[in-house]
Amino acid sequence: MTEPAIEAVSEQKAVGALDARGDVGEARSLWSDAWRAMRKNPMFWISAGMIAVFILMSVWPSLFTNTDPAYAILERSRERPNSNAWFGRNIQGYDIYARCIYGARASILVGLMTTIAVVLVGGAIGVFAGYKGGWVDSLLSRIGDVFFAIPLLLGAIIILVSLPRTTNYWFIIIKVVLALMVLGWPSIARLMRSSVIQVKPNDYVQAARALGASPWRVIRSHILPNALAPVIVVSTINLGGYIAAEATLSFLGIGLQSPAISWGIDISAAIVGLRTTPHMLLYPSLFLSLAVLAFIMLGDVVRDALDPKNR
Amino acid sequence: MTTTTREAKAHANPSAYVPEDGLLLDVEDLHVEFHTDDGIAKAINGVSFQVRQGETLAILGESGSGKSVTAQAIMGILDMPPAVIPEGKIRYCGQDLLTMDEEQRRRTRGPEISMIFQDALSSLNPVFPVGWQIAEMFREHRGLNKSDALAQAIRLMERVQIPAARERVKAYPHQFSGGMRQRIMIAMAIALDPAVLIADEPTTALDVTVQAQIMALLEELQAERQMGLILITHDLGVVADVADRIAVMYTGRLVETADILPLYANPAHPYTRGLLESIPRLDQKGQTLAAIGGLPPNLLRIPPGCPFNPRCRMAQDVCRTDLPALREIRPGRFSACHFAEEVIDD
Amino acid sequence: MGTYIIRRVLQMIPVLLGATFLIFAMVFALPGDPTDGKCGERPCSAAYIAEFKKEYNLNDNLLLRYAKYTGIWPQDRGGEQKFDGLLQGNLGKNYNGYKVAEDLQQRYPVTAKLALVAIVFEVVIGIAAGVLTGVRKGGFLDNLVLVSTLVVISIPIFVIGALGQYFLGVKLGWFPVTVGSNPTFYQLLLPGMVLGALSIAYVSRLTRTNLVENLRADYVRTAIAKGLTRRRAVGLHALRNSLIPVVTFIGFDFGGLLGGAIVTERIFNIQGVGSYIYRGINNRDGMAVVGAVTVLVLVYLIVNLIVDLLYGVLDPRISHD
Repeated sequence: MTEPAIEAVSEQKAVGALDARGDVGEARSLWSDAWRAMRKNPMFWISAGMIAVFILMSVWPSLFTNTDPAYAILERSRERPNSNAWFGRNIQGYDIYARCIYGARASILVGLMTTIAVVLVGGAIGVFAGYKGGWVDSLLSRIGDVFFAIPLLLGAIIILVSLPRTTNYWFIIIKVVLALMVLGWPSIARLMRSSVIQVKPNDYVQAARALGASPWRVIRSHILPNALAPVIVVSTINLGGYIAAEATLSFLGIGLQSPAISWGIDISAAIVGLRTTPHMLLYPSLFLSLAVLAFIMLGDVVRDALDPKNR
Repeated sequence: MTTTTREAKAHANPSAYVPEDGLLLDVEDLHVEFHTDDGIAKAINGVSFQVRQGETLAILGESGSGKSVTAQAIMGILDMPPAVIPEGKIRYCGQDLLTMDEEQRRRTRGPEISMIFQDALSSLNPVFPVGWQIAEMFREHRGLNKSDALAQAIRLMERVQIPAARERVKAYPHQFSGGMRQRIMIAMAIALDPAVLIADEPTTALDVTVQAQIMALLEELQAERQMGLILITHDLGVVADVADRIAVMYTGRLVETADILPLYANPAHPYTRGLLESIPRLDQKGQTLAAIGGLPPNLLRIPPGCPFNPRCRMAQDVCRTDLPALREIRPGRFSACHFAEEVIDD
Repeated sequence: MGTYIIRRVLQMIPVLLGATFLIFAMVFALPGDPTDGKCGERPCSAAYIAEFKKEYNLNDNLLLRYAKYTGIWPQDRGGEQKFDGLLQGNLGKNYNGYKVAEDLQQRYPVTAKLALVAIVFEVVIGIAAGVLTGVRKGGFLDNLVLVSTLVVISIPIFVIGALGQYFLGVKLGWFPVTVGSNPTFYQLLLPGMVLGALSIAYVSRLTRTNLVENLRADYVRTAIAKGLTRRRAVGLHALRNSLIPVVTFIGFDFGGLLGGAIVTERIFNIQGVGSYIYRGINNRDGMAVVGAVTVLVLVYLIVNLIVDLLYGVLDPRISHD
């Protein structure tokens, strides 16, 4: 459906691209078009279904298992999968299935909270910089460059280690979120800033400003609807990355630590026994990968749906 | 005389020689469909026309009428799939292009049939110098070495009147103006002295003054090389001075073909008449401009009967049921209208 | 061009200072006493601690310490006040008394080698997969690569590393399982592939997306209309344009690989910068961490500049005037 040939057929559909400088009306039709394209895509339903299951798992783990993940049967340590313990038991004799279910909470919490924090902080800074322009823009962009220049994982390790030590589950989660947010905000800020700069010179925005519309109103009704699409796509894909980062930090022994339950901790513990008891590594890795996959896949689907060239 | 030049070229492609009557291109009952997710779009539905040596045929139509698809089908640059050619023949010097194997067909593109596109900026590769892109024709088809090919490119750039061609041969497409870029496209298309040149809306993207210069250049080159020229346009004004014959297309069909002057004087199809009436004329001040109401039909759902009937002021019951055939109503004049005689005498 | 480079280099200075200050502030906020365990079982003597704190300016406030570290403020060197810091090219000594610069001279070539191996994999496998899938969009190979890139992207690097080490190293014995202190390129093949795995997937997707897009471009249609072979139209005209963003990505990725090597180096026990930084953090050795990260950021900025300049060469439409 790309040929100039079928101009007549595709004429109506071609309206509203990611780079459409249009106004809310166009943005709306962009979303309803995207929704129509997504509905037909099985990948959308698969990834959305997987995300729904993982979220349910993290809110209400007892729905999936009656076994206490912190109940160790030491004499059954390293037990292979069986009818009693579906995924087998790990070194300490914990039920791996229960730990996989309960481990979802840390990953989903970190992923969602980091994404929300990054979008709020990065979005606000990006809109502010793009809208103000001038030295404010230059300063904020340079500050963004500073954070961008520090590798995510490395920076997160240093931040995590330098924050006060604690064993409280929620404090550790918030520390991880904070560390990832501090290093993650520039990507969304850059995205927002460029959307604002692209939209700002348009006549209707200038007209709205000339008519005395407040900056907040101009931003809300003219700038945000256009910037939203790329931000949602990038954030969804990044969410998968944050989940992986949380697990990596736990793996390095810097994020969550036992007795907290996290896929990263279990994977880290299981790697030693990879040769004799691969099931200990397999199941937590599988859960972690599926969670990351679900968000990346959803981001892909949304991006494809928003891009009229792909229809 | 011209026949000998064609025969000299026959070395490049032994099967192609120009017949006695100068008939270069013979398109017969061409059909093109696009198989899309929403159904089959019938872009071309039985189009036939001929192009002779030194002749200029203008194909006229709105966007979506199938004129560009026709050009691309002749060139063999349609993306297949989604495009499908279920029926028809495209004969070049007596040989059907559609039954040739791909390698044979490829060798005709450039030396035999060549094409100019509407938007020269996007049609030229942004990352190669223009001289390199022209020289590529000689290197790939003629096996010339780098410096000889580049010398040929400079010669061609001079021929299409690009100032300081020698200095600008290493410049990139974005460094030229729109008119100059189109001249480069033309230089590339005529590089190997093709027998047929297809120009797909060559001036649409240009300023009015530049349009006239480009058309004059095309006319000059065509006369000089005795090419068969197919000029595809939606603009009657562009073709008036240049074309010999006109074929008017609507929803993938020819609705009228005629020599240019008789058609201007007396259109034989309501659609053509509508097109003519929509041109502003200096000699008739103060009249309202008559445009054709409505839009062309969706190619996925072409209405029964005459496809023009929903927009036609003269439509009768027969127009909604029976598809009019293209028939000769006067010598050399063809029209696909049930009431062609009435229209032409009107 | 010249003024562009000068402007960019001048812009790099505040970014470098900002990044080092951030790291500096965070590292020296690390809890714990750096003199712990320095004197064997017993706690260190007060005199030693005083000497240690003086040597590393630990008695000054953060800003003054940073000023001394960067060399814009003089510090006490054997009784006389000297400017002796980053600007003078001195990365200082780590808490064991070794010069950080000398440590890094040993460590950086190892990590750079590792990153180079990863880049070669990105270029060879990533681009090849991208081209093969891009020209046959929707085919079996396309779907296979699409699924496998998704899988590679979703499996965290430490799992890929452990699996690769076990299957390719231990079980099949194709590659060495761990790597010595001065590794050869052969020893780094497996770690390099693990380190580059994610980027290989991204490169192949990026190549594919760009190629698919460019195959629809008007100039490719022109190339076909010129009577060029499909091979030339795709392999030269479309690919030349499609590789511009890919080259940019690979360039930017080099800096990221250096920083991301921390996990890979730990799995394969490679004595590179990543493990140096990791050990520095665990030992509360601020000087080592700040020095290594400073060099990392500097490399990242320089590579970025080179990539931007390269972009101008690859795409004539971009000008750096």
